[in-house]
Order: sequence, then C-alpha cells, then structure tokens
Amino acid sequence: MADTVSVWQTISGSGALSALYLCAVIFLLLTEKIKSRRLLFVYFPLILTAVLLCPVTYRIFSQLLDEEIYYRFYWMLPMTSTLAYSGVRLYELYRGRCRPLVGAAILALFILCGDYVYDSWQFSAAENEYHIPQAVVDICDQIHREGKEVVAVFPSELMQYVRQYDCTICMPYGRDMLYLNMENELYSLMEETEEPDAGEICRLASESGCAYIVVSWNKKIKGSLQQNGYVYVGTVDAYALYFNEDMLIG
Amino acid sequence: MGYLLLALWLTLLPICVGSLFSYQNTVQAPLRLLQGQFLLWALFQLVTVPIVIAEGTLEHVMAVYIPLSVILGLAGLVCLLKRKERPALQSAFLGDAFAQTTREKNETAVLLILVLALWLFQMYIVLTQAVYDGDDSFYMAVANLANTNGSLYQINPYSMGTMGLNYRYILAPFPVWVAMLARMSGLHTLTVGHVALGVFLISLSYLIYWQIGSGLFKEKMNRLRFMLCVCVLYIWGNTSIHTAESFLITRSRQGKALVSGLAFPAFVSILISMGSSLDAGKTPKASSYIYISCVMLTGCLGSAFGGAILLLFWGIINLMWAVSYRKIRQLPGAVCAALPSAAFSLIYLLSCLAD
Repeated sequence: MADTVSVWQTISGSGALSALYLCAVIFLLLTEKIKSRRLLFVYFPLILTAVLLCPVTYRIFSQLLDEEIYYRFYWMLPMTSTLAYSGVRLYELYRGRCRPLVGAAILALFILCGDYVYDSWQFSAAENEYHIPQAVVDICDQIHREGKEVVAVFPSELMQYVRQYDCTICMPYGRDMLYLNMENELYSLMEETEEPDAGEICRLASESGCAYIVVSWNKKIKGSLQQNGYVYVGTVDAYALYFNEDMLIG
Repeated sequence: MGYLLLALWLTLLPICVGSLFSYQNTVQAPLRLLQGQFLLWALFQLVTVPIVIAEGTLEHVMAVYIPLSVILGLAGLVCLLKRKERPALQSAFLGDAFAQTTREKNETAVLLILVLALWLFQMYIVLTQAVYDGDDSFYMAVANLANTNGSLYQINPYSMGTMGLNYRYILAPFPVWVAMLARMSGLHTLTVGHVALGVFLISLSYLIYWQIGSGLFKEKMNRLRFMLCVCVLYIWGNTSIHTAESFLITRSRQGKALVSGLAFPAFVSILISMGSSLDAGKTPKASSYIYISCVMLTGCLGSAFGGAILLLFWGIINLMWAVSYRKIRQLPGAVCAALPSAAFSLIYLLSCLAD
C-alpha cells in the first residue's frame, strides 16, 4: 500500500487539488442525473483509483513493466474536465445577486489548491529561437565542419543540448551516462571539482577521438592542455575551446 | 515562409481531412480540425512504425505519408465544397444565440476576454521562455538526427555510434513527426519542437476542451465559463511534474505530452458524445468509432505505454456501458476500433516481457 500511496503523492503534490477533485466527484455523485456522465465522471474514477491504489495491481505491474511509469495510469482520471464541469454546475446552482462572487470564489479555489506552472525552475528567458543556451549554439557553430563529424567533449551543463542542436557533433559520453549511472573516466575528470590533471584529460580525450575539448573558463586545471597536444583556439561565451587537428574524422 | 508552410500544414490540411468525418452534416471547423489532425497522426503512426522497423529513413516516411495526407486532404476538400453549408468557423465560437440580454452580452464579453487573455498569456510564454527538460536530449536529438541525415532510431542520440532498435521508442515515433515538420518547413528541429509545437499543441488542447464543454453544456455561455475554469486549471495545474497539464506545458515537443494533454482529453470528449447517444437509446455513430480509433493510435504515436493505457480506458468504459445500459450492440464496433492500437500495444507488451 505504501508504494501505491507514494505514487499517488508523487502525482498529486500537496494533495489540495486532488482533495478538491474528490469533492467534485462527490458533488457529481449527488447531483448528476445523466447516466453516461455519472459513469465517466463518478464511477469510472472511483473504480480506477481503487484498483490503482491496490498493492496487488502495483506488484503485478512492477513485475511486468517499469514501475516508474505507474503514475501515468492516473492520466485516465478526467480531473480537469471534472473540476471545470463541477465548477460551472455549482455556479449554475446559485442564482443570487452575488453570483459573480461565487464564480470568482470557485476560480480562486482552483488557484489556491493548484500550483502556478510558470514559476517552476524549468522556465528561463529564451536566449534564441532554439530555446537552448546561446553558449551551445555559439560553440557548436564554431566547431561545426561541413560534411564531417567532429567529436568533442563538453562540460555536463552543455552536453545534453549539443546533439539537439547539431547532431554532426559527436561526444564520448552523453546524458544517458548520468541516469544509467555509467562510469566514464573522462567524465569524472571533466566534472572533478578539485583541479584535474591536464595530461590525463588530453590522454583520455585523444583515446575517445575528441578533436575538441570544451571547458568552462573558470575551471582550474593542473597543468596545461596546450602542452598535451591540444591547441587553444579561443573562448566562446564563458568556455575555452581546445583543438587537436589529428583527431578530425575523415 | 517556413512558419507559413507549417501553419498551413497544421491547420488547413487537418480541416480538409476532418471533413471526411462529416460528409452529411454541418460540423464546426474546430471539430473538423481536431478529427482531421487525429486522423493524420493515426496515419503517421501506421506508416512510420513499419518503416522504422524495416530500418528505413525519414525520406521513405515522407515519400509515403505526404502523398497519402494530401490525397486525404483533397478528398476532404471535395466533401467540403460539395456541401451547401460553408465552414462555420465564426459560429463555432460566437454563435448567434450566444447572448440575449445586455447583461448576458457583457458577461460574454468579460468571459471571452478572460479566456483569450489567459490563452494569449500562455502563447507569449511559449514564445519567450525556454523550458528545460532533460528527456529532450533523447527525443529532440532523435528528431534532429532524422531531420539532418534521415536516420530513424539507428544512431545513439546522446553521444555517438549506433544503437539497436528499442521497441519502447520505435513504437512511438512522435520525434519523427517533429523531424518531418522541420524538414518540410526548413526550420530547425528545435524551433519546431520548442516554439511551433508549443503554440500548436497547447492551442489544440484548448480546442479539445472546447469540444468537451460543448458536449457538456447546451448553453454557450456555460461553455465559456467551462473554458475559463480549464484555462485556470492548466496554468495552476502544476501540482507535480507528472500531471497531464504540466506535461503539456513543459514538454509539448515530447510524445508523452501528446498523450496526456491531447489524446486523453480527446478521448473524454468522444466518450461524452457517445454517452449522449447511449443515453438517448441510440447506438453511437460509426464516425465516433473511427475517431476514437484515431485517438488511440495517436496515443501510440506519443507513447507506447500511453497507447496501452488508452486501450485499457476504452475497455473499462465499454464494459461499464455494456453493464449499465444492458446493451452489447456497441461492442463489435468497440473491438474493431481498438484493433489497430491493440496490435501496437501487444508488440510493446511482448517486447517488455522479452526484456
């Protein structure tokens, strides 16, 4: 039961909007006369929630598929439609002078129980028409070679955008390494908070076929990349670019 | 020019195709657009998955899909022109019987302004704010690879090298659709995914809710009230990153948003319409079954698991209908409607079990 409740908590957050949804379902249970709507907005969600909260369902599902996607079953609940429908029905019930206030109160309740999406950390001002950091665009444009693939190693804050923007740029590792908990020596060195050794970085980058090494301008490195086969070609935004011509493919 | 082409492909073509659903009667333009778009997505799913499995390229997909879409569009256009009634785009939202008294007119104006303002606000955010999601490093890179060199799920999108066909991904080729739009329009895959699709899919989702409102309320004023509630619930629906609303707003370029934000609400809108027929003692129209079949296939296009859940949803609802209306006449139609997406879901489940 703890697992299924935890999945429910994952999707419902504070639970206020879910509680409001439950109230809406009960309101429709008491007032809705049309059979098909009772089935869709009342009985179906109640049965579905009971089945999904049942530990047996969760256990069977987690043996067959990935339990991380169990929450998607809750998309079947017509939550937005039910809340909006009940809200309008409730508004209709009141015919007095203060009707606009009732409407405003219903909307205020939705707002108070919900959570504003646009103040999420995921949003930031778009820097370009691609909606990725401008540094990625500038660096990729700089190292792009027409008709050729180029291998480059990037700091982790940039690597996930690179192939979204330019897939002719290859990398020795990508974001999959992070969530698959794979180990990569070059990645460990590139992300090391203490001063990594320049010789080691260059050796591993060469072994991976990297023509470019991109490092944050602030990153402190023991020794110099330039003394290990890579030439400093310039700084783009806050990143320094080092190039080894021998590593170019084709 | 690219944006114009994209706008035409995503609005005019679906409206024409959607006319195939409603040869006999007058259907409003928003419903035609929705039905047409879901039919086009279903067609894309049917065309693309076999090509991906056969290790074909984006060029192969486009060579089959675009002519078929254009043929459907032309057939729909013929249906549209043959009809005496013209597309009722204006009356769809601002019908004649919308407001009677001055007070009602004022309330209509206030509601319309509020709904439009909230929608425009969301569109402004789509255009000016970048939304981070880590999964883009897979989905958008797959789309970019397809657009750049035609490769479909054969190259590792994260780093480099090749990758084996993973059925979880290839059964839901929504990134290929994004790549096709980018190739056709000449716009960058990221611009299509982050900007154009954000505008298109969020707006389309509101059209679906307009249809739900139309199914629930006869009084048009109530439909606007319903839409106002929906707008508020969308903007304040981020109780977690997993809600359908959050998915649509923050991940509109990913297939999961297509399932949660469009396929599920469209499903509900069709169930309301079919339920009304059952309440009236009638069997739902054949076109409803075709439409729901398209929506289920669209679910598969967005996410293999999403398609399977839609199928489950359909199964449960039909059982409930059969029990409560004591009718099984609708069941053969229901089974036929489910068959195409059931095939995809079966392959998905078998591949999961094999893993």
